[in-house]
Amino acid sequence: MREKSTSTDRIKRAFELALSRSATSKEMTLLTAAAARYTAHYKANVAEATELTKVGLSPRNPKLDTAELASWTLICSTLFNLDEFLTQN
Amino acid sequence: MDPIREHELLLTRRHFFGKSAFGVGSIALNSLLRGSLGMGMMGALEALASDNQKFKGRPGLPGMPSFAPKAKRVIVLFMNGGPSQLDLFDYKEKLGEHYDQDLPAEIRNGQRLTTMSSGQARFPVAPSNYKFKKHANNQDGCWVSELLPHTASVVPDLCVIKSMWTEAINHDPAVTYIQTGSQLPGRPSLGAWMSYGLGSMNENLPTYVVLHSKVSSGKVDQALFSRLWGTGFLPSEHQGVSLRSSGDPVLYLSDPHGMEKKTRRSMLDDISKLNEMQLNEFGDPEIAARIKQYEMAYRMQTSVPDLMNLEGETDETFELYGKDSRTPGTFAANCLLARRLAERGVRFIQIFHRGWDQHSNMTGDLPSQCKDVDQASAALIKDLKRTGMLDDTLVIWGGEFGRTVYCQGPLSKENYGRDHHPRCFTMWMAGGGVKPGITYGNTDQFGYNIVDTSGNVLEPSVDTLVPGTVHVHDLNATILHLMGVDHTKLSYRYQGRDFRLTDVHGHVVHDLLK
Repeated sequence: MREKSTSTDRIKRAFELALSRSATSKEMTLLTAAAARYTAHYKANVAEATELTKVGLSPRNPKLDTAELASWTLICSTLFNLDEFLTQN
Repeated sequence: MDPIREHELLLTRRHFFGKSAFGVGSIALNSLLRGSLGMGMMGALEALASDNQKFKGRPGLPGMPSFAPKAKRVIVLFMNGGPSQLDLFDYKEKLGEHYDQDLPAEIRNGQRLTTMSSGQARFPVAPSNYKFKKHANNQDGCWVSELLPHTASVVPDLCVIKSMWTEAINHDPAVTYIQTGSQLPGRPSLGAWMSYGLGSMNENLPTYVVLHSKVSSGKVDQALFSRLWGTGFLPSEHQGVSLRSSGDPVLYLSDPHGMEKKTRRSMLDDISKLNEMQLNEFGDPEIAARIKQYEMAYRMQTSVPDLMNLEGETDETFELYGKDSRTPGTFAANCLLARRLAERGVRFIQIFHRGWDQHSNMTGDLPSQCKDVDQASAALIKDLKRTGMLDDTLVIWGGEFGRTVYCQGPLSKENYGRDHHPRCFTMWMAGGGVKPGITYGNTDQFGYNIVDTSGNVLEPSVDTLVPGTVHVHDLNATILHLMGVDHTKLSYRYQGRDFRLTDVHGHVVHDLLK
């Protein structure tokens, strides 16, 4: 989140880090829409975002916007749950 | 892996794994059968179809079951380690006379022993320390040890097989054998075959559920591996799902705080769409399996809490299973859970109870092992019977092999140990189309070899059916038969060969069937 400022750049970077390849345009479209949807949802429900960002052992960076952090948590979680990420062959 | 060949297979796989392809296939087959077969067959198929629809299930392979099933579901109570048949069911009235005498060489006949006892200077006979009583059944009665008083009370419902045998002599190969039909790891388990062949009766729960039980003594020497309920080369969606015995039954099944159901759903939709893009690109059926499993997990977010919520169970039911049944993770609690899973259309349920490997300290350990499982095993039979479910639920109790009549380690009147014995062991079955109130098979006066009714030693064979003997493959063939499946027809092509649960062996033991 600190590295890249736009949604598209963040997805590109996260995708490459997770899957070692560039996202296709279809994948980009889907993930960009998802990021926008999550951000809108968590900006409207900041309390929810606060709860979600409490999950996990590593302390959260207080400088990051809570709704944004919650939203990008879900995008990363989406990538980490893909078959391509979980399966090596 | 040859990419061109893989690409060619893609079409076949899509045909196999595509939901719609399956649907069309079954419809076509259904109408074909309707045209050519009698109503008996159709009735059975329709009954099964309606079972699969009760909770909205998933169809099995076209043409399965191939005849009317007697059992719709199976519950296996697996006593891991090798329960001592000589101290539980296989009563030898005159064994006491042979206390501390060497097992006659002609009885042992040079058979291989494990290295745990093969170096012993002597093989002294260890009679059982427990009293046996004959309990009335539909034949001339069944001997049961005083360690299993509750089991004794359901003898009229049991089909007790005293002539089970296996080639495997050590735990892992033996358990792997009975679970997968091969001593070597890598084959699909019985439950996975059933899920693959017969489909699911409830899309909200796995078709094959595994439950692990706490062991009171805490002595659990033998490990269990998830491959024992795995799928081998069958698609992964058919593998057994193991529920944890304490805390959340399935880890991380519940959503974290700050994630609404709606958010979870939209995330799963995205994951599914992205996975589908990969599936279309590469056609790997494992991606299809993963998509299905994510959907299953989502549905299990509702179905598992409902399954685990025991509020509706009466005090009487808890009493039936014993006071342990209120403690999650005990064998008793798992038996109650098994009944709830069966009610919900789970086709194959397996409860593991470990610690049955009494190489020494038989009289110290065996009573506690029996106490863990006896009441609840019998309660399961009674409970299924009172709800009418025993008729179409097959319950199986037993382990991977038996134990030797000769003592391993120090022998005294009060205590002894027994090594692994594959040449004969006891299992019981109940319900689901097996003959109630019978015993099957006999062993010689030392409980060492399988004999016929006149006492002549039978040479069991994996290649032909020797009446009076039941090999592991025969057991599996018989279980599949009760489920309406010809064990020679349920196969899966892998690495150029059609694999079966029973390999190239197995005979249905009709003597055990109603």
